[in-house]
Amino acid sequence: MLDVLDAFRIRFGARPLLLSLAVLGLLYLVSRSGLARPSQERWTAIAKWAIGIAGVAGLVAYAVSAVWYASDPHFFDNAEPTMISVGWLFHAGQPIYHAVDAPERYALIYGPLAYIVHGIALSMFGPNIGVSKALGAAAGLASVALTYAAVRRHETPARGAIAAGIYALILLLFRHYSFWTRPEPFQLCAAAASLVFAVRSRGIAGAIAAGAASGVLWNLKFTGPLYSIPIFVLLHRRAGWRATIAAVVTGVVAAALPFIVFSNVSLADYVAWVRLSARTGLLLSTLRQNLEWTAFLLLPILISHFGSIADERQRDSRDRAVLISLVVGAVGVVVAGAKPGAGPYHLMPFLPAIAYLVSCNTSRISPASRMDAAVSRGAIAFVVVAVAVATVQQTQLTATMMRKRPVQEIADIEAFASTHRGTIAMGYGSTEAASLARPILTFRSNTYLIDQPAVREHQLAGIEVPQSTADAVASCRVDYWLVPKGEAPFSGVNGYAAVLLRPLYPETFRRAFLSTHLRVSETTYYDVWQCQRAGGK
Amino acid sequence: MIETLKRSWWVIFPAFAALTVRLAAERSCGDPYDLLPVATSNPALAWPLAIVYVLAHAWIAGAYLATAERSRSLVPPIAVWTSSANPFQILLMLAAFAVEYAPAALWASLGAMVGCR
Repeated sequence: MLDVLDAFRIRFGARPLLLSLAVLGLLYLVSRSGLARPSQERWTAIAKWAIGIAGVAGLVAYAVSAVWYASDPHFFDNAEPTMISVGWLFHAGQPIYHAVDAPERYALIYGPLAYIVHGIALSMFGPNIGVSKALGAAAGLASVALTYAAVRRHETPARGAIAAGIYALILLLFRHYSFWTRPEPFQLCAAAASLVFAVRSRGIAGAIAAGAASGVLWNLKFTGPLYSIPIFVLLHRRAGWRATIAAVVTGVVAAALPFIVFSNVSLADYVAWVRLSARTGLLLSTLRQNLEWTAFLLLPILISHFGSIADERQRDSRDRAVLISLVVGAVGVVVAGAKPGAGPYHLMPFLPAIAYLVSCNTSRISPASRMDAAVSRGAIAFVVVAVAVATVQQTQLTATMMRKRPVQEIADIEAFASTHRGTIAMGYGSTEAASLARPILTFRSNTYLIDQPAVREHQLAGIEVPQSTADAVASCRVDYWLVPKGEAPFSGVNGYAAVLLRPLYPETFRRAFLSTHLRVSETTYYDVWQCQRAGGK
Repeated sequence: MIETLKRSWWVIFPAFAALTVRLAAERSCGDPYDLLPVATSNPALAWPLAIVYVLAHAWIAGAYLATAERSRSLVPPIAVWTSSANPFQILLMLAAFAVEYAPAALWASLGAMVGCR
């Protein structure tokens, strides 16, 4: 059964638009066949039931999935530990963005708040992977609650809850991206908060709050302003130009604040890394995928528009401006998110605004009204595909995490660290799975020399591991390296198409490591390589 | 909107048609997951390609929306499509999309048949 679901995920999981069209075609054939010919009323009833059940299921499944993932100290994704490690470095006063030629290799192009929030949480609740995982889950769940608050402006509590449930269901299509330890949960939370302030609060204070939340969004990723476009158009529609300008100014100040307040957050180095990353070009296959996903995610607006088209009296001509602003923002993200390693998950922060626009449309549909059969079939097709793709994505997450649960590498690392003095760091072999517990070592040493996901990104941008890193390794900046057992140290290769199978670490680096380090022992999961200081230790 | 679609077609369609033909050749004979690697890894070339690609999608979406609004239906009847102001433009654009969205396996087998794979 798992194999079948996995095959479905691999084949169709990334093509929800085409799947929706296929299901829509199938439903059309059913309606034309002699076997079953549901009436317009029946189609409407089926659509309402499908949406209701999917909404409730979405709420429950999202909460369960987020809490369950947070309860396990293992990571699914290779770059999740990076956020926590660098977040802890921030707390320890180390730079979030090192210089391009510095020995350290951990800078990524996420904005500083993506790390600072983790750093603050870790300093408040103690250095523990569970703290950061709980933070991601809390941010994802908060975005659901905030989206509910936004749609409640137009909808009844029950229909608002179902809309929030469909929002949660759509988040599950992106596996665990909405509650992992990378910036996306914070983005969702900030986008939903900004939306709530824009559409629900009154006066200049509300506009400033919307701007502040958007400022957080802008700081988290450089594409942040694109997500705020529809929110600010909504704000302008409701509160006028003065409030919108106040929100924009507040947003700029909020986005800039971490660079001004913290001496270990360098704007110059951040910009340097972003500019280097812009060199990587884009992937046309990812661009097409992003376009398909955009169309799929906008389907509810289209369907609800035609579902509510009968009542023209209540339609606001300014709806079109909001919709156009949403599409403009989405197109920007579609292109920016076509970089190697990016993808459709970059569209997620538009979902609160999409849910809100859908609620504007659905609030015009009276409970007793009959929808056009094509609209009902469209809604059913969307919901069926959303449930199917969310199910296979969550199955993959669950199956993978269940395999990881019994692995006790954290206890293994802690046992070794408690019996050895000096700096201990995570080394890398040919695979990465065993290196994901590396924040444990950063928590102890307050240092982080090499982050392999960053090395991979740097290489894609044309930056190889510099000689200064090899020198730092050779001069025993780290006393012990824990390398996944049985693997040659630093033997990984790049998986990006443009640099496929290129060794991540240059030969000079590997030679420097092997000539100065000796494999001295092993733990349950790691080989221990000790640095041999000149003159013996 | 119809006028904008009709005029912009003359710019967008030729560029998109040429791009889809090139991509079809790439899918037949090259790596279907890393299309036009030399052009797309260079931002100066990648941006224009992305713009053409996105504009073509925006054009077909715009044509659908204009037709759907005219028929006030999510699934406009064929008669509404054929009676639109630019049916041939829509048809040719759809043909280009059919080439672009044809299954990868089709191009792979075509490449194998031609012997470039």
